[in-house]
Amino acid sequence: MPNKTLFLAAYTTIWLILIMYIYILNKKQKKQKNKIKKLKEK
Amino acid sequence: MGIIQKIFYYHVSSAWNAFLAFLIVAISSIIYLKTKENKWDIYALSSAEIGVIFSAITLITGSMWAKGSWNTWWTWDPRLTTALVMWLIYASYLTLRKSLKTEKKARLSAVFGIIAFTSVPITYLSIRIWPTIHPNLEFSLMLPAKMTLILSITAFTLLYIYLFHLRTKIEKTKEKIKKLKTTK
Repeated sequence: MPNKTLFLAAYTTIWLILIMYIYILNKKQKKQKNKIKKLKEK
Repeated sequence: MGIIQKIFYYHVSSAWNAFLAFLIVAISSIIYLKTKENKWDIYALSSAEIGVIFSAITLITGSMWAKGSWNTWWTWDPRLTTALVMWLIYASYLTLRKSLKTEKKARLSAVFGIIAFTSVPITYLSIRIWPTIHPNLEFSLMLPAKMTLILSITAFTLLYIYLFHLRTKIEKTKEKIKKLKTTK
């Protein structure tokens, strides 16, 4: 496999993992905010 | 070595942050056992999760660099093997936490977190203890490469701090929701 392809694959994998993790955390946070809002309204 | 050398900056930075994260797990676990304050358990969990992600990135980038340099995706070299074992230990820490439903969950996890930290110095020192083909460039980097590495490590450390803050916030909000549900 050419080195350039390997480098791009590594680069893409790193950022994909990190961005996905941040996305999941932010989604969890939004869900929690809505839950708190609903509980406080009750 | 060409462009494949650039992986080095991500690989070392991720490894450094994985070690840092696991150190935070150990420290938080010790303080939790002493004080029994829940926030230290939250710090340990958050740091372990981020550490597992960074050590996975270390293994993946290392594997890709190895393919380019050694023409193999993996070899049972001491450094690689100990890094994999370290990742497996902390992955099992997270699995343990998820599977335990008892009140002693935090205490058991804290004990596990302290014992698990023994894998970190073993991984770091593996290139000194055993013969290895893993590069050891600590003192042989030229100044531009050293500066780039320091910048990269700093950037990844800031990323770790941001992820840690975000993750602990989620756990603390979880506790808040639990309290609100019990008071209603």
